[in-house]
Amino acid sequence: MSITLQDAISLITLEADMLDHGDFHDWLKLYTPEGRYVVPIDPDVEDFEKVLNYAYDDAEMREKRVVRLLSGRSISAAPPARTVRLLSRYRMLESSDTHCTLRCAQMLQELRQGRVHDYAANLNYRLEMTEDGLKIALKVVRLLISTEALTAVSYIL
Amino acid sequence: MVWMVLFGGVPHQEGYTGQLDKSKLPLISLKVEEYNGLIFASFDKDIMSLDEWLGRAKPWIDLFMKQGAGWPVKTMGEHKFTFPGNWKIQLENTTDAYHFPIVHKSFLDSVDAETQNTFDFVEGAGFVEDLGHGHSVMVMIPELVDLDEGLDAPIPERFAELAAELAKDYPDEQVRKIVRAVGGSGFNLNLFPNLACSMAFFRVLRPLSVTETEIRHIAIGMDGGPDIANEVRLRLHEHFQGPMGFGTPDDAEAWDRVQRGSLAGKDISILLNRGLGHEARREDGNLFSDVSAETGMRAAYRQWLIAMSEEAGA
Ligand SMILES: [Fe+2]
Repeated sequence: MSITLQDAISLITLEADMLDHGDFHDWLKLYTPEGRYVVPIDPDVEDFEKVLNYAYDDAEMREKRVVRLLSGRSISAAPPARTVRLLSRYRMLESSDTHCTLRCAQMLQELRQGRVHDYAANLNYRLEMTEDGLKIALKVVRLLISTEALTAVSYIL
Repeated sequence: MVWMVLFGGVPHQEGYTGQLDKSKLPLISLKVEEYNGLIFASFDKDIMSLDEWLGRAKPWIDLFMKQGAGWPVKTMGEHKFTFPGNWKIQLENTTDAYHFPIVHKSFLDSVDAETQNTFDFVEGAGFVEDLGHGHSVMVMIPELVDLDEGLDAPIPERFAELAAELAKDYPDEQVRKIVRAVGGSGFNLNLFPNLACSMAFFRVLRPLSVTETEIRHIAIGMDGGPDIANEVRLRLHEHFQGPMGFGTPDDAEAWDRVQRGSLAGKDISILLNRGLGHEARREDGNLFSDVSAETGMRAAYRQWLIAMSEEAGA
């Protein structure tokens, strides 16, 4: 049976909830060992390895990112930014019993040092069915303003 | 009519019945000159030649360009971000070694012990040198000043995999040259007012207002060099630089706090005397002091004062 849209939504909204509430260690477990978390700059690029991105994280870099955010040794993350994100406009693009790809919209609001920033993004996911259930094999955060000047983002989009 | 220029021409020119002399209405042109692939422009037509302006900074540009490892240096994309503070705090940053072990603790936590050791330069043999015209160089890792030298030095562990991959296609000496280039230069060259050749990338700053500054961190690589080596450079750039790097957000936070601190009052002192007590002069006249000295900041502020007080030619 193909992976259903409802199963996919359950996983990625769980991810959103964990990121907004700082459950970063649990967040790491949502990914496959080969999984990638990518925040590209170029809106059209697919071959992320060959170009400069804001983030191109394999398992090792994701773990380092989490350690950094929780360490208290990064002044941009201590105190941490607070975020609220909403996911919506889900569409399954392709689905089988082993994997699926879907995309959705994300609206995120960040509060840090008394300042509010808004980031709209298209999220593209590739999910894979594993022995431990459905996992994220690829998450691509395509920020609406990726080619504009950003401000520091010391959290996980 | 002026805005029509943007569309590439003047519509219905007969409407001016001979009273439109387009040769008298050109776009504003800048004085443009190039040095070793870097293009500089000025609105001031009477400014000294670029050769003279760069002066003693030129040999350091040449050293920086050795990151091409025999190929030309190319740009490979950029991170662009703003911070709510004055541009001069970022100007200072590129010639400030002593913030590194404090502000970049979390970056240092994320690299191996060998790399931590390389970046432990604040009490090392490096130096800061005033190169004239507001330019300065901060040498953090003296062994990595000339990338063509020291090719027999051991390859750092973090580049072992890359070196093994490169060895399939390149002779040993070239592998070593490429790997050294990938690691970047051991110095920051600060060119007044807005360009830095900063270890392994270009930093261009642009003041947007008194309290807002835009910064571009431009990644560089080897034009025609091996893709795998350029990809390692991209990953290193992403690791530290940009709004989601492990380094830049902490720098931006520090600048933000400095800006807020500056609102404390007009009469508070800003100390720029670090390293002054043991500052000395080289034979060529350059002032220099230890790696954590504010010699480079003093150089930049002297030039800034000249520009702001219009003492042309001083
Ligand atoms: Fe820094």
